[in-house]
Amino acid sequence: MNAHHQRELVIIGGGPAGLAAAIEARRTGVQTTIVDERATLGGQIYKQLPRAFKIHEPRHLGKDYVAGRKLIEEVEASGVEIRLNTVAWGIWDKSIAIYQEGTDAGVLHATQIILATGAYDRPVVFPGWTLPGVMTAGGAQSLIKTQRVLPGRRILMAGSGPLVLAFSAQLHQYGANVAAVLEAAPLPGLPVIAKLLAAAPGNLNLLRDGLGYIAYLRAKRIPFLHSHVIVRAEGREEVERAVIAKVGRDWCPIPGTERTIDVDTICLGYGFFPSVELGLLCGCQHTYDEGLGGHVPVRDEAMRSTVPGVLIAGDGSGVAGSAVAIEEGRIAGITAALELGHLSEAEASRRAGPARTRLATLERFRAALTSAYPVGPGIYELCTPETVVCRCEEVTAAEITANILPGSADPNSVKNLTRAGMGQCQGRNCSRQVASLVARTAGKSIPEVPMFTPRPPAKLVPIALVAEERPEEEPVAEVG
Amino acid sequence: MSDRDSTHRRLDPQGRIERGRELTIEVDGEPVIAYEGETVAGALMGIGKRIFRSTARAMAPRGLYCGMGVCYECLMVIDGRPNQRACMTYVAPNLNVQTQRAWGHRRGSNGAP
Repeated sequence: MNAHHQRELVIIGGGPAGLAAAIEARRTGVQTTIVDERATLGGQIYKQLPRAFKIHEPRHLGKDYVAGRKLIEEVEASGVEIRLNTVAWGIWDKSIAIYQEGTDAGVLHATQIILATGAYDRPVVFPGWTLPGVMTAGGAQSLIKTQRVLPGRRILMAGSGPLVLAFSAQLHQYGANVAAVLEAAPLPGLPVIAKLLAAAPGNLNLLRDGLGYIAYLRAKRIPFLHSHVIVRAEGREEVERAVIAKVGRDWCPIPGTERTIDVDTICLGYGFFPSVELGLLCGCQHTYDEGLGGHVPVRDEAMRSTVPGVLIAGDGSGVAGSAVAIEEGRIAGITAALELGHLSEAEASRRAGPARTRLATLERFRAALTSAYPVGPGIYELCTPETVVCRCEEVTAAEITANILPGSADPNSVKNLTRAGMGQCQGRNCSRQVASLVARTAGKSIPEVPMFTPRPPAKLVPIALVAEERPEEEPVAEVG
Repeated sequence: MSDRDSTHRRLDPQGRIERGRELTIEVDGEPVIAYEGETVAGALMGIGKRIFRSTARAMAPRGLYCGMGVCYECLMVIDGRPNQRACMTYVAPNLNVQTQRAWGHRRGSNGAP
């Protein structure tokens, strides 16, 4: 499968950032490969309908679909090597270990790498969150938009930020019965509104979208409750009820405000975590910013990480949405072309100029939104001792707390003792909650305790496929 | 609007989108209608089946959670292969799908994936 020769640029992730990067790099003649785990390009936001579905009115699918389709077609026509159904599960120096669903495993050698891995829904640990019927908002949206299937009969949407409104309105437009929408943050006060308006020039469309969704929910008489969170999902085998409560500014439930809503589905839209696993495996330096989703890579203006030859763009470097991801992707593609000698310094900076200007405008709005919807510390306080924190290994909060060694502030020792974070999802869902429990015990904050040490494989790989790697392909470089 | 409470969960908004051709898959020994282009998760959610597996330790029910291949909660035994993500696997004629118990191996074996 031609996996052994050197490639100039490998882009991991075919969402907005990866597509924009591919276009810019290819335009300068860079030999470019794009790798994506899914069967179609587009990532989550531009997720395409299955090829077997026939679309009579593409407009009906919304502007994201149309914008995504355009980007994808441009990449498909550009001569970029596209490898779909392909998981990148480890990186050693510039060698990327890949596994193609069901068929093959191999290694791609790259001179430059752009990580455009995107983000995933922020897990929020509360009693009952493992019951079938509790879904991430992204998962529910994807099921409805690209599979045309409703996740349940009566849906509660709980979360925070503008996407909660957008998702709820969309779910309803697609025919779902939305019982209520919970926003953990209080009604925005005047200072917040002032900040949003100050950032509005150039971003009026974003502001208008948000107000439109609020009007839609009101028109459809869907209750929209500020300062409310889901505290418990109840049901025997599946969700049958949701218990909600009013919260203070810190998102901690106020005792005595609990009430029960009859729903069979709970969608969680508390924002996103950047997918930083591959950057961590590369050895890129990271820092912590709750507003950007948590641990994010340190980058320069040209999207270079702290590791030479590794560039990072889009939500995987801090959650800011698809508009920002596209501009970052463009800049990363241009930087890769510069590093590979396809562009002069002056030409690269000329080409990146417009993207930088647009990025600055978008960034103002993102910063204003983040300050309007700060994540409350109460989000880490919803689990009870019996609550399963690590979904994969079924480790409860009580077991985690009991295995925090006296004087230790390292989640890795808890991982070793309990297996929390060692399961199929590789700690993506439990790592932050475990860190929070460890930090609390040690009297520290989350950014002050270490992350789970990243280990390959970043995604599950059938051991037989890797072991049976065909002889003409170079083996994965040895670790360490 | 009456569709909002129906048990049939597949959307057919005014024929603007047509599913792929109809086919039959086998779910826990029963024939189930699905459509080309659907994922196993989509097909099962479409008939209201939301429990995809039970866990190894507590035998607790689990289903579709992240829907994007990240959480590995929707693991099922598909065509005899355990630990396949229902959200990332597409249906095909006569595909065999089984609700997974623990790690999907034979009784008595409990090896992690």
